[in-house]
Amino acid sequence: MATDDKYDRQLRMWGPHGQKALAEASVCCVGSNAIATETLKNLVLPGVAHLTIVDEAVVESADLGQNFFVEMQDVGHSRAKAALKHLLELNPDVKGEAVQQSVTSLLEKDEGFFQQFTLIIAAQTPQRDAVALCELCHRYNKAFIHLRGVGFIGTIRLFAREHAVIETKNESDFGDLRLTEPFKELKSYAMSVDVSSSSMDEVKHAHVPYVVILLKALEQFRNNYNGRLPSTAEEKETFKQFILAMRRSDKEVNFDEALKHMFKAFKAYTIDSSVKAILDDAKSISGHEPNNTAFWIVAKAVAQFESACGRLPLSGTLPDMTADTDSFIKLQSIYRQRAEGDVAAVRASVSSFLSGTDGDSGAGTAVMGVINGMRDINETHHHHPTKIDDEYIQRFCKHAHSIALFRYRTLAEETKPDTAMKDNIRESYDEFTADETSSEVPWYLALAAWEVFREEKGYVAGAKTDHDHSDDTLAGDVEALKGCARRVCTALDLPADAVPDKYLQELVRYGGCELHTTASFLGGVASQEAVKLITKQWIPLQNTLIWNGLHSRGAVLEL
Amino acid sequence: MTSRREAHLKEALGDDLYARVKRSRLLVVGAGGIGCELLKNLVLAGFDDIDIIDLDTIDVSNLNRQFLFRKHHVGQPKSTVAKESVASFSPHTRIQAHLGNIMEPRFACRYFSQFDVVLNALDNAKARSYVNSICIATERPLIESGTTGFKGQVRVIGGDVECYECQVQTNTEQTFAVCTIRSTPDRPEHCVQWAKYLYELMFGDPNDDNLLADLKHELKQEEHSDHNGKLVADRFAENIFNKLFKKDIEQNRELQDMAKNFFRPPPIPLSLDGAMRLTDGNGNIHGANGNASSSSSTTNAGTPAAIAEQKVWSVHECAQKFIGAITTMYNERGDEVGTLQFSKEDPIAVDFVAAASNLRSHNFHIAKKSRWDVQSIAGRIVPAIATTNAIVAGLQTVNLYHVLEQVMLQEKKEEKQAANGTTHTNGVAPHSDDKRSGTQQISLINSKCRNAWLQLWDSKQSKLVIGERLSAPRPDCVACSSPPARVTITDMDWTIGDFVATVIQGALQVKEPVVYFNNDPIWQHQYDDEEDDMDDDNCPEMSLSGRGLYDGCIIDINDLSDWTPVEPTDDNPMGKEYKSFNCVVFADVSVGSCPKGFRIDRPPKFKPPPPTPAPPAAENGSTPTGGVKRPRDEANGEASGLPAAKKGKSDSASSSAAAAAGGGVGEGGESVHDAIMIDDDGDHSYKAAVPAKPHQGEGDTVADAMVVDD
Ligand SMILES: [Zn+2]
Repeated sequence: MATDDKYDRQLRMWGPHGQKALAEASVCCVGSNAIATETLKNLVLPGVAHLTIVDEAVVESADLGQNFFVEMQDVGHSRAKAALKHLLELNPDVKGEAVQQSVTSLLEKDEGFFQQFTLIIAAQTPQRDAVALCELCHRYNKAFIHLRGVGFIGTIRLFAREHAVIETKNESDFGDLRLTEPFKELKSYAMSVDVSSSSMDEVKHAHVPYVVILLKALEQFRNNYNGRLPSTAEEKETFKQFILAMRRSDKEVNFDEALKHMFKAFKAYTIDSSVKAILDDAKSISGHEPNNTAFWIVAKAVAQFESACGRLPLSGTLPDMTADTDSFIKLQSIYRQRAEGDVAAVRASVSSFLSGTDGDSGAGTAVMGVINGMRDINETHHHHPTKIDDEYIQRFCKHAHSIALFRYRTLAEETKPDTAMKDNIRESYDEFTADETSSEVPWYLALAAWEVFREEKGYVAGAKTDHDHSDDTLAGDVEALKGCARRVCTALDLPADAVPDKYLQELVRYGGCELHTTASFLGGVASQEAVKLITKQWIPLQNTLIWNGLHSRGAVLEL
Repeated sequence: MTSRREAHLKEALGDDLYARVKRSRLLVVGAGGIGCELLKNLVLAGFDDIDIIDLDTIDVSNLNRQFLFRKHHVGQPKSTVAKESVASFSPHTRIQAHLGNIMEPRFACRYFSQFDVVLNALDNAKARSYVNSICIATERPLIESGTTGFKGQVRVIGGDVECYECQVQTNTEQTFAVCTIRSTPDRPEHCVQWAKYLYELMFGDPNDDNLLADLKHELKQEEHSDHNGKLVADRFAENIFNKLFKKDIEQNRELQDMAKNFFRPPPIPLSLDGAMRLTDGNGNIHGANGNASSSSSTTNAGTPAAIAEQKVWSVHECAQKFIGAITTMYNERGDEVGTLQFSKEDPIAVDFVAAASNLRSHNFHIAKKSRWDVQSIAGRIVPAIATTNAIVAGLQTVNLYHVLEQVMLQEKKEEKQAANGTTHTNGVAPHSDDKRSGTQQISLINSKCRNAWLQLWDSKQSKLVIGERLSAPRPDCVACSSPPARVTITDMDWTIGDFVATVIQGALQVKEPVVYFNNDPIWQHQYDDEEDDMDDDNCPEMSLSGRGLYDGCIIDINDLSDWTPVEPTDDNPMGKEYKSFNCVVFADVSVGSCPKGFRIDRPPKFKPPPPTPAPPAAENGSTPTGGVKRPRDEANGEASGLPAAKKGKSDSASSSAAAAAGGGVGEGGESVHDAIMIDDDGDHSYKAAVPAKPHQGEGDTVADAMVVDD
């Protein structure tokens, strides 16, 4: 029964296969500060497999005021160990390890260390180390999230060299009924239903599925218009009249549904250009990312299917509609059988790729090459072709029309002036000059300056240091930070004074302090994105969230 | 504790706000998914004095997100376990946990008056609406929250901004026509609702809302007892089965034939014997487009139990489960029968509802649903995860700081007035428990508070969280347009007669009062020409407490001498809408020093007259139109969880006022502390997209207007 399962509610969101992905994920977090623990808490609860925390810090009393996962008796001990211990108490399913080392030294001595993880999170990691970690993640093909929080302000930056999503869960998905290109079985069934026959009784007539009504009206239209689809307003009206002519009474709900869904009969079958691009890519399969190999092999098979049939595999699901049980089941089985047939064709291609027997000279071998060089796809550990879960192929085919692929820019690309996304920043800056509330880009620029300040001065702007925390020092930090901001802005071809002084003053005022409130928010968003990256469901942020906690606004910008 | 542990916090908040945080009292309503997060956040946000209320006990399915609870806590009260978990982390914080329903009298106005701010972490519209009304009565700012799946929202309520009811959708729960449920179902949801009513009828104590209430008597006739007079459960179950799915359906069929209703196929009667033969079950998953339900042939993924539940039972299995659930209930849980309410966590209850609803679906040619889906529909289960709750609780905490800044402004103003010799009504100081005098309401409209919407992001959006300035209340809002009057008397031993004569007719000047408490009339005005004993239920000598009134209760006062004409109805043949208002009655011995032994803290404001046909909405999108705000895809007719962010709504209602209220960094003016957080004063509209409608197609039914997390 469901109540035995503590994961019941989340299974309703990402399904058993999403849960399986989580339960196999190994997450590494650099940092054990509040942002780190708030993020990890939300990954331990839903049940990731393994957690590694890297931090050389020891617990100080200041931690107790913001980090829920350290306690008084932990003061003076390793913060990574303390945080891990308290986090693992949340869920006995999760295992973990604490590494009491600085990320800087780990990067120098043993960068291979990071190869073992699914996802690497860097919480409050200074820019230089974060850039280096991101490069490493690019090389090892790991998902990466960089988190930063200062006072009420923060950023979340995602990276994945290549992130393939089958289930994008697009809310405006209309489904795939093939009304304009009915396959043989569908068409012959629709034509076999004689709506105009007087022998059809009232009940039956009021329960003809709207799919059948639309197919019949469209057939009639095409016979009159050289096989075209209705396109002008006039033609659409004609089409509507064909529907109304079949109707016996305005009480027939199925005809209301037909009129409501009429627009689906006006749009010729198309494959979204982004899906097409993925399929084109898949045709040259070698050299793709090892951890997406299953994706690429099935994509290649689907591409082959598409080349041969001019369409994608049928999704096979039928929405609820007014229909009598017999008609509905009949229609459902027509769609389902066709979908199963499509899956079988794709499955056959996949098998031939895997066994290297496909006719496409070279491609099979290329696939073999990719497979042999990878660590694992689906539980295969040996150097022979692996098997791809049939369930995965089915899921791919069902969602083939909405698959998506994301390639993220690295932090190095973001921060180098010659590769920075100057256009996006400029556009957002222009929005800001038109309306201060419509863009958070000044916070991004201010934080970039703040990082430069830290890099150059060796301390955080406004931080209490050994010397006196006088107003003079603060004013000095503000001036120095203004200088950094001018350089950052100039390098991005923005006006040198693009960041208003009040933003910089505010950052200096925080003195680098971490607030639990901000950590809680950033940890929530970061873990949500981590779930998307791990389960490969939904569309992850691209690629940066800028959080303005002063006005409860979170803007997304690709950088 | 102002030790080093909070040095950072003090730095970021500034000394004044930090000090105000330290002496604030908070009420958190709900210790579920959001409540756990919130409690943790508040403790780490510097708050030292928090009450938390929840009526629930911990269930296994809470553990994936309600992180203050562990497996060994299952079955214990949420509120007290949450308190203990936080206390072990932060022993200096004073947390009071209450196990109970927020709607109990002990938590009424008197109780609410102790707090500076109320934070909701609730899971149902009824409680939200109630807390809203008490916060209006006691002038407490309220910070609302809700999540569903990856989406969430936070709203700030109080003083001069919209209340919960201002924006709530008119139809808060999915309702179906009576006849749809009783005789003409055409969707699985209708059958599930029917089965839930049936469950209450058979195992609980159905109230008047139960559309099948009249069937109770008929079901009783099916009871079968042995010679000792003991009920034989399996025989009873068989009788019930044949009555509900065969005899009643046969009747239905005849009625339909008589009505010559040709537009629906006649229902199929199903006897128990017949059902037992239907084993093929055409295991189709009709309309089950949800991701979880779709992986029908999965064998190696996830939890097998979950997958088994996604299978659709055959008619035969439904019949077995139906009989099984009834016999189990009577044979093993007989002592509970008559008291049960449907719970989505009770496996027998879910079995029963899944079986009964599917059998009825079979009767009416409706596709059957899996147990998993039925549980979702019946329990109005919203997929709830840790991540969204954390985000929303973070948004609530940010707004809490901003609310307190406004409270400080208000307090400064009142201090100044006090210094200038402005006195309170009747010259008596407000009740000592009352955190604020309440003579002036808090102003939030130009504050830094934001109603925040967390969206499900896709590549087309530039915002993950939309923060929207607060707006003025709807002038015709039933809840906040006429906040209750407030009267303080010495004690509840006053007689009703004295209270009516002195306070209601005297001070409040209601000439011909009718007074209701909990919808019961406790006083009806008598006209001189009426015969003395006729219809006179008044008990002038009885004490207020004798009639059930308590310190901080709310009464409803109508004035028969003043009315507006309305369309006459059966209930109101005279077509008179009397003027009325609500009134909070507090008891406080200290008002004994007042000349008459009572004090009017807030004069009455009559409720708005009944609605006239709605005027066309104002053209300017930035003024409150009073309309119900809905996501743009309303036309799709899906139950929507979230009121949409208002498109084109300015984030900057009045820039000059905003500056005065908050002050920018380094600005002087009315600043309340030395380090005010930055405030922007742009004055252009958002280009933000309206949030998309809530997630669909995963079997989640969002019934409440605000989204929920249980
Ligand atoms: Zn209102």
